[in-house]
Amino acid sequence: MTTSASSSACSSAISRALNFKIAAECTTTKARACLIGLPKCTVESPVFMPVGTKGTMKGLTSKQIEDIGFQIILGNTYHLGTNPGPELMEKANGLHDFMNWKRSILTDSGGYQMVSLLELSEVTEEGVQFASPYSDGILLLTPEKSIEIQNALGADIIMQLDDVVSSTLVGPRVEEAMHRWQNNGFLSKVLMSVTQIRTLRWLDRCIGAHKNSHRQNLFCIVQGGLDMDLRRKCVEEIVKRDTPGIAIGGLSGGEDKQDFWKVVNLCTNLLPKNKPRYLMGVGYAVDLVVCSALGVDMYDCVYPTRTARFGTALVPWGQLRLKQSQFSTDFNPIDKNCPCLTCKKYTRAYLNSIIKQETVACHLLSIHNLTYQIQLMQSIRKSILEDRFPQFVKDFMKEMFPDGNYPEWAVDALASVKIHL
Amino acid sequence: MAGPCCRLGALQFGTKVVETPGFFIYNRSGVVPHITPDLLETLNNAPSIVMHTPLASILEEPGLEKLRKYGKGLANFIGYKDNSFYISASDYQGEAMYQYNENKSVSVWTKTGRTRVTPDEYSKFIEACQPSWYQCLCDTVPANATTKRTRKSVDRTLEFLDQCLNYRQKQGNNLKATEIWAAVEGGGLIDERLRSAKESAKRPVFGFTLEGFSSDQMNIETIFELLPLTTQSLPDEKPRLVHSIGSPANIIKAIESGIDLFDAYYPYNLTENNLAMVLPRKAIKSLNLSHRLAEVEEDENDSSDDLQSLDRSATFSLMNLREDKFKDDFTPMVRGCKCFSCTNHTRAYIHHLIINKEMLGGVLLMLHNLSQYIEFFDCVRSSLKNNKWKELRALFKA
Repeated sequence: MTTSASSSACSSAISRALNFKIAAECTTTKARACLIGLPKCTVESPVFMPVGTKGTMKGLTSKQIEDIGFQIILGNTYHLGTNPGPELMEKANGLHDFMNWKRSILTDSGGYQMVSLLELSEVTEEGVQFASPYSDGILLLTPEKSIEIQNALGADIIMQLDDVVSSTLVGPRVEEAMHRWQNNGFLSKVLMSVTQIRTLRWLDRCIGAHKNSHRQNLFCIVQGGLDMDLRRKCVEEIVKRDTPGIAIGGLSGGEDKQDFWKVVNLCTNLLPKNKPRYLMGVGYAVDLVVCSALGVDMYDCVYPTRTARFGTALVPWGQLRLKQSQFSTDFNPIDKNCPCLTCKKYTRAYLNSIIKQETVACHLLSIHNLTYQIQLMQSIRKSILEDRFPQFVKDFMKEMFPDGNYPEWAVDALASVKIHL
Repeated sequence: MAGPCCRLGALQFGTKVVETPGFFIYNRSGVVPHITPDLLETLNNAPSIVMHTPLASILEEPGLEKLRKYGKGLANFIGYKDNSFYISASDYQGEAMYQYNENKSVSVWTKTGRTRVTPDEYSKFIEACQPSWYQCLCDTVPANATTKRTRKSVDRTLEFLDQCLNYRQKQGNNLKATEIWAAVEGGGLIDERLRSAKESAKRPVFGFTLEGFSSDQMNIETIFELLPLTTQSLPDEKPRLVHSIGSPANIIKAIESGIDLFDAYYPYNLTENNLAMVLPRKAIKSLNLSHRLAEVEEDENDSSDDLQSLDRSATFSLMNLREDKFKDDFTPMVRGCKCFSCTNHTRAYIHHLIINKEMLGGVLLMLHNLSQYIEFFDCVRSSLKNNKWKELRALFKA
């Protein structure tokens, strides 16, 4: 599977580019508060990473993101690899300098984006083929190409290219393919198994192609869909590659939440404790709290910034859809306890009045939603450090569901780590 | 010596001072386009910034009822309680639809369409807003309107002014803390301009706005023929504001015609077209016109093909950030510019944002253009104080 040479190259890289320390562990659940020491910045976990797709957080400056308190953000390899492209990024000295962000960055492999945005042609052993949106040609994203672009971008953490067919249910062609297998459990398992093994081979190719292991950390991605056996096998193999951190992929695609938490739980049980665990694509408040109880350290999601642009504000008791007419004469701030600029200066009524017409409305709501996310993560972390995380979870859930109608999956998930709502 | 009518002055409100010649920042629906309040604070003299809000952008939303219910005035509602506000009755963007004005009302165009506003309704709205200043309701015609229609616009506007002034005398009115500006009309007819100016000057107003002088309502020669003649009929001790004259060259000519204040559509329109203002820094520095100017390196090896020489040129220019030549230019937009955008970001990054239609592109360009505009006015006042007007004219091609 893997040569001993690439394995040892990874181990020695760990101590150079990533310094992981568990600051505190919850004595009840599997939650941990850690310090992830990266080249540009030490990141405190559990951590939520906002997504800055094309080298910008949709209308906010790097300074505004820094002032909110984020230590790490995410950049998208597909977008940046196309525009402005790896050659220009090298000239610019990497993404950090290009967008003037001095703290840490994580880049994804580009695979997921391509599946969700472009028409999928074919997945071969070589790589993933797509119809080019700009010409008649075919684009091929190989593990080597993905790493090449990510090396040029220069992020602190880079992601392996995984076999995207197994990892997602989006994209018209992929859905088509999955449908055909869905009614046949056995064939579905075979498909998963095949793609999962390919993912491991692609991981090895990524490790081989990676030029900057002394200053960029390559994370692997555990796949296997919702099948516990496949997940188990994947973890077993992937851990042998000894990457500095491990991501859990293939979830947050709209699957049943009962399956979701069980897979997360299994993975965190099996994964090594002394490395960060990154759950990809998760960002709803309840999910963040529950998965932190299950032992996840890192998250990313477009949700807070995307929903801001649609006029929705996140609050400890749910959401406010500020376009609604009920807010037109509501002269309260979004959340009177929120320290953000938007809550300090503006009322719901005012935001309601500008939401459809001024881009500044998007910026103001993004600032609020990102502040909400970071405050949530900081509260989670603080409660773990002070060993009162279970009480924090109970209080959080009570505020989010005052009538006690907790979602069943969350009740079950928390019960599995000894929090009883 | 500066032109015949150039004036240096200051507007005082509370503890703040706006020096003239100066400008009010364009504010639409309560926001400066693209700019959140924390970014606005990075501009020089931010607390003294006066916001110019056109009526059309606030008439419907928030609207009278909402503002009354809120009860704390427009400035508070839109998050700028420490800034002063000037509300103009007219909106200077888009086509002026004067044919829809009537004897008793003016038509204001909002998102949902046309609203007729009478002077009393306007006054009530101003009461709910509580700005520092407001323009009286006015009926403005372009220079090519008929004589009859032009006369009517002068008559109507004076009538509107008198009604607005009557409202201010009414028992229990809430306009004591705000000041009214008269609107001087007259289209392209010198007689009507003089009549409007002299009649307006008889009324107890704070200042005068000169209407109809934008380049789509009047040709440029007529503008600078009529402006000085009009201002000469206005009292010296009261401020004069003209809307929609915005390029540095035209501002200089307008100041020579006796104008004190301007608006900020120009930097806004530049931003919408991906253009950045480039003040001729080296020249400004050598004339000692800006005390805020950073050190501009003396580089003897500059060739005229060097992209950097754009900010070394001897006169004012514009830069189009969309152009391909900036895609790998990792220098600031304008070297030596101390604005947020030039201090933190590069031409290549801003070019990338614009090409990818990212909102941050507009944010960074707007901040830069406002910052340059502020600095331009600094140079204007400085050149008046230091007898360098002729040199200023040359720098800005006036």
